[in-house]
Formats: sequence, structure tokens, C-alpha cells
Amino acid sequence: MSNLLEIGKSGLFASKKSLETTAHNLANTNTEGYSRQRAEMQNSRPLPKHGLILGTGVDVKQIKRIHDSNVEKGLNKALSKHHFFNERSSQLEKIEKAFNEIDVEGLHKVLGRFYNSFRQLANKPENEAIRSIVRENARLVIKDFRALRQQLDLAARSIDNRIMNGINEINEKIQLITELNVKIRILEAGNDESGDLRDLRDRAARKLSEYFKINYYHDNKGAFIVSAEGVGTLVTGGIGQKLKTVHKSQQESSNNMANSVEIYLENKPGYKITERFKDGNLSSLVNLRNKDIRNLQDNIDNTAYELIQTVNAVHRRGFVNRTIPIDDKKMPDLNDQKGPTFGVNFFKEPNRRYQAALDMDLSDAIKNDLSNMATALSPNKPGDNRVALAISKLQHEKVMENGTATIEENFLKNIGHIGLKAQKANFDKEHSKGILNQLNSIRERVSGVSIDEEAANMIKFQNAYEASAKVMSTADAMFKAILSIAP
Amino acid sequence: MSRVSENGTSANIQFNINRTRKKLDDLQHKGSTLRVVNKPSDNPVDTVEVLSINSREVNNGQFIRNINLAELRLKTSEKAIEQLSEIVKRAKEITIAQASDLYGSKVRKNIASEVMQLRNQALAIGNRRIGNHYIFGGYQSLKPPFDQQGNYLGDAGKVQLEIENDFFVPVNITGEEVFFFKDSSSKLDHPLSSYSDIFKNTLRAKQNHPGQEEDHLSNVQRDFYRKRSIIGQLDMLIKGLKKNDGNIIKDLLDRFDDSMDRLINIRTKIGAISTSVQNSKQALKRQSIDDAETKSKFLDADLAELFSDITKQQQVLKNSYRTAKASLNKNLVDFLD
Repeated sequence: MSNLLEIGKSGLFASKKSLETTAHNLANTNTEGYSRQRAEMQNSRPLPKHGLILGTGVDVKQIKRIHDSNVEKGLNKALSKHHFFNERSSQLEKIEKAFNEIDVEGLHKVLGRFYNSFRQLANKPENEAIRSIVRENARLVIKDFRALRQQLDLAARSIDNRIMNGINEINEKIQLITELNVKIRILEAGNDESGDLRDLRDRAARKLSEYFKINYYHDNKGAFIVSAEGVGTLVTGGIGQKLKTVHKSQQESSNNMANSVEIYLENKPGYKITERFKDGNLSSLVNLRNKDIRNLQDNIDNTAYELIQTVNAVHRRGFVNRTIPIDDKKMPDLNDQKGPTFGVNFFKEPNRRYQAALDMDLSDAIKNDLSNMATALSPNKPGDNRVALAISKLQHEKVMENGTATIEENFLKNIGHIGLKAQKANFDKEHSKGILNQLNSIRERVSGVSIDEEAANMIKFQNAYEASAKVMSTADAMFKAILSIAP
Repeated sequence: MSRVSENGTSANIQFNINRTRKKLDDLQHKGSTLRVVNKPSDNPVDTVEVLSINSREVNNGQFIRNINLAELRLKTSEKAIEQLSEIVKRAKEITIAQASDLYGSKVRKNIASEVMQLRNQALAIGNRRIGNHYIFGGYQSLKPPFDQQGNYLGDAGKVQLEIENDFFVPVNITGEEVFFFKDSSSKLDHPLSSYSDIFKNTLRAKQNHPGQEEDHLSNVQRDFYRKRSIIGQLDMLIKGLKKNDGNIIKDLLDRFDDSMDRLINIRTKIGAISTSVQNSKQALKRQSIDDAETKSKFLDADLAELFSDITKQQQVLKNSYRTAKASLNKNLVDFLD
């Protein structure tokens, strides 16, 4: 009798546990990253009695989390890749806007007008009004160069901000994982596996995967290790290694800009890890800032530098547009009361290539006095247009890329490159999203909650519960029957 | 048997709907701009083509302006030389008439004043200008090239204008060439030849040493040419008429013939330059049309194709919505008691 009651009780208990687990699953249907749980039954140890081996009911062996860690790892890798391309695509879209000249007036068009204003000046080199137009067009060129360079700088700075914010969230997650490690170890010591806490830890790890590629595993002592590929271990059991951002000077930065953000391991100030991350948001941002944006910045600076140098070199050969006194040896006076009459620069001479586009400006001589704008190769010849002609021909002179491209061709090549990169990043983003979606599907198939399934299980467990209850009431009735045998 | 979970279903639905909507979004943007290329990433190669064409259009616009100015200068020069020819013709008629001693010194003196007029007219033609630009002064375009004695104060500069990419034409004749018949060098240096260190790639011609371009008539040469110059000849005619010297007058017959020939030569040269300018203008106009066509081919959207794509996508989207409704709505719980 007591056996019957015990067996019934174990059945009741097992069914109730299963129902509770089902309820837990249903409650968490929409929880992101939740893995469904199952109460695993096992028939209890049979006992020999009266020469027979009798069963003793059911035990709930464990509440198991249905979870495939390989699928999870694959999913995290896909997540890292997708976020890399996602971030790259959205940043490149912004940069592409700055260079989009299909409908809008851009640097390319402004450069064209600059050269053509010299052609117009070559038509009427005596004309003061045209000189003024040339100067205005030069001002537009300067303005556009500066604006473009500043936009690139701004993009780099905004990436710095995103990096700083990202590191904050990363540190939060590292902290969370270490705390969870401790909790899990305490809870699971001597007890069953804690599915919910492990889910939480997996979610934190997944968030980290968005930022960079991670590996995680349990070492031989059972501690949970998380490491960032290329960088090093970030979590070892209950101990976490946080990251830090530091503003560095231009020489020490990885993208040649003053005050840029670099990433370090906290407490390890000598070990710069900015460029060591792989995949994920973080390395995408760093890559964009240190390679793509940097190359564009250098190119714009080079272009401005070459433009200034070539125009100045030609302009210096000319004599200013006013009456120059000639001495008795028929040599022209190289200075008059307004300043030098020969060798005048059109643009201000740049100090260096770096930031030439930002520092670009007209020379003081041209700013102050239009007669300093030379068109003639010989003194006192107002109709001589050879300097203006030569400057206009600079448009088609191959001065960039070791003499293989004109300034305009080089600039167009840049625009083409950016377009290609943006197009490719877009395509990669779509492609990786598709892969991510598939892997997510697989994960959901393994670990996701299906309401249909849980509802069917509910019926199943409810019936089992009713059956066990019936067993108990039968045992009770039998007991009462025995007790009622009284003299 | 593989299961399907709620999250899986909803993730799938979201993915598909988003993808369709993105396509629709993109098509709608193309529909509102009527362009298939709106940013470089839409088609990088075509973008670069289109922007090159834009650059060429701007240049060609300027070249046409240059051509218009060249035509004006050349025409004005030609007209002036035509008028000069008329003067020399008249002078020759007078010379023929007055060569014999038929007429007395009084008649000759009267004719002399007519020749004075002709001489002044010739000088005025030499000092002709367009606006404030003297056309016969070479590079000295702001001062009258001839003084009252008929001395040339300008220089030998040839003003060149670029009328097509890398194609330069001289658009002026110097006073020396017209009045003094100084032979201008038939081979004109490329205007960039003084800058061969900067324009390494454009120039294949030999470098011109600075200072060498001054091909100016020296005073000695001027005196030598004086006798052959038109003003000089007219002056001699006036002298002969006033002095009543038939021999001086007879001497001038051949010289005036020479002058006429030379003026015709110059006019022919100008005509040749004008023709090449005209040809360039035609070529540029044709290229403009070709460029516009090419640009349109790259940029513009095929309306029919675009709108049928939009309609199709809209239909796909509607269907996605309907099927989503079907799969998200009911589950087992609704059917249990």
C-alpha cells in the first residue's frame, strides 16, 4: 500500500514539475535568446521484493535546457560578420554622400570651373573683371577642399565616439558575465544545471559577438573562459579584464589624427589593441577610420598640395599686371612699390602635405591686389596670355599617381572607389543577413518555444497528473477497504 | 522532424517583409528621381563615366566661348586688311595716273592731299581696336601700336587661344606683319613650351629658351623694312607728288603691286585659320549632342521597366502581408476546449 502511495506521489510530483516547466516555457515564448526546458524523467531504482524486481515510480532527473552549443557558436560567428558589414555599410553610406556629385555641385565640378575661368582670362588677359571671377572661383575651390576634409575628420571623430560608447557596453557585458559565472558556479554546486542563468550568460556573450569575434569554452577546471580573437582572454571564471579607451596624440594614434581614441586593456597601458579585433562592429569602425577614411584624408591633402604646387609653379613665371619700370640694361625691376613683380604665388605655399586641404588659402598678394594675378610671361605686355593658358592646361596634365593621372581623373577614381566599396558593403550586409537569418532559424528550431508543442504537452502532463491522482485515490480506497475489515 | 517555433516564424516573416520593402523603397526612390543612378554605389563605373562627361561639357562650353572670341578677332582683322587693300589699290591707281608727266605740279600737289587722307586712313586701320583691345599690337594690346610717323610701337606677340582640347590657334596678326611685311615664323611654338619642366607629359616638342620668343624687329631692320612698308610707300608717294618728281612715283608701281600681293597672302592665312576654327565649332557641337545622349543612357531610368517593377514588388509585399496573417494568427490553444 505504502508503495502504491509512494509511486502515485512520485507520478504526481513528476507531472507537476513537467507542467511547471511547460508553463515556464510558455511564459518565455517571446524572450530573446531563451532555450526551452524539459523535465527529464527517469524511472526510479527498482527494488527487489518477495523475489520480484519491482519498480518504484518516476524521478525527475533534471530540468534540461534544450540547447546546441555548436549552433550557438555558429550563430555568434555569423553575428560578428554581419555586424561588421552592417556598420561598414551604414558608415560608407554617409561618406558616399559627401562625394556624391551626380546632382549636386561638388569639388570635381568646382575644379573644372576653376580651370575654365583661367581659359576665360586667357581670352582677355587685360580684363580686371575676369581676374575677379578667377579669384572667386579659386575661393570656391578652397572652400570645397576644406569642407570635404572637415567632413572626413568629422566622420573619424564620430567613429571615435561610437567606439567609446561601445567600449562602455562591452565592459558592462564583461562584468555581467563574470558575475553570472560566480552565480552559476554557486548555484550548480551540488545542484542541477541552471538553464536560465546559462541563457543569460549566452545572451551577454552574443552581445559581445556583435562587437568582435569571441571564443568561449570551459577549461579543465570548469571555469567559463571568454576570449576575444586576436586580443586575449577577457573573462576567466569570476575574473574579468575590462577595456579602456585613451585619447592619443597624432604620432601615437593609429589613424594619424590628434586626440584620436585608441583601445587598451585596462591596467595594461603599453599594449595597444585598437587594430587587433576581428569582425564585429568594433573592428569595422576601426578599419574604416584607420584605413578607408585615412586614405581619403591623405588623398584629398595630396590633391590640394599638387594643385597648389602646380598652379604656383606656373604663376611664378609670370609678371604682374601693372606697368613695371625697365632699367637701362633692359632688365625689368623685380620689385615695385606694391611688392614683387615676378615670382608671385597664387595660392599660399603649404607647409606640408598633411592637412594641406585644411590649410589651403589664397596668397596674400592675390588677396590684396588683383593686379598681382599674372597672365603674361614677359613684363609690360597686357595682351600676353601665356601664363593663363598654361594654368588652364594644368587641368589635363598628369601630376598625380607618379604621372599617370590628372587631378580630375584621380578625384573621379576616388569617387568610383567609394561607390564600389559602398556597393560591396551593402551586398555583404544583405548576404550576411541572409546567413544570420538561416542560422537563427536553426537555433530556433532546436531551442525555440513552439506554442503548439507546449499546448500538446500540457494536455499530456495534465492527463498523467489526473491518472496519478486516480492511482492515489485508488490506493486510498484500498487502504480504507483494509481498514474496514474490523471485527 | 524539424520543429517550428514562434520566434522562428516571426523572424522569418520579418526578414522577408523587410527585404521586399527595401526593394520597394529603392524602386520608389528611382521613380521619383527618374534616374537609375542616384549615388555612386548604385553603379560606380557609370558614375565615373557620367562625371567625366560633365567635366568635358564644362570645358567644351568654355571652348565655344573661346571660338566665338576667336571668330570676332579674325573677322575684324580680315575686314581691316580688306579695307587696307582698297587703300593700296587706290594708291596704285593714283600712281599709274601720275607716273607720266602729263599732269603738272599743281595737279600733283592736289592729289597729294588725297594721298595724305589715304595715309591717315591706313594709320587709323593700324590702330583699330575691339573695345579697348588694339588688334594689331601683338601683346601690347592697351596702347595704339602706330605713332603718327608710322613707327610700330607694339611687339611680335601672337595671342593663342585654345579652341579644342590641346588645339591652339593664333588669333591676331601683328602690325609688323601687316604694314612692314615681316615674315612671321611659319612654325609657331606651342604655348606651353616655356614650361617643359612642369608639362612633361603634354609636351613632346623641344624646349624654348626664355627670351628667345622675342622675335621683334630691331631698329635697323625697321629702317630696312621702311621702304617696303605701306605707310612708307604712301609717304614716298606724297613726297614724290609734292616734289613733282615723276621718277619717285614710277618707282612705286612695283612696290604697290608687292604690297597688294602680300595683303592677299595675309588674308588667305586668316581665312585658313577661320576655317579650322569653324570646323572645331562643328565638332564641339556634335560632341555636345553625343555626350548628352551617352549621359542619358547611363543615368535615366527606363520608365516602363521601372513602373512595372514597382507594381510587381507592391504585389509581392501584399502577398507577404496576407501569408503572415495566416501563419501568425492561430495555434493549438485556440482549438482546445
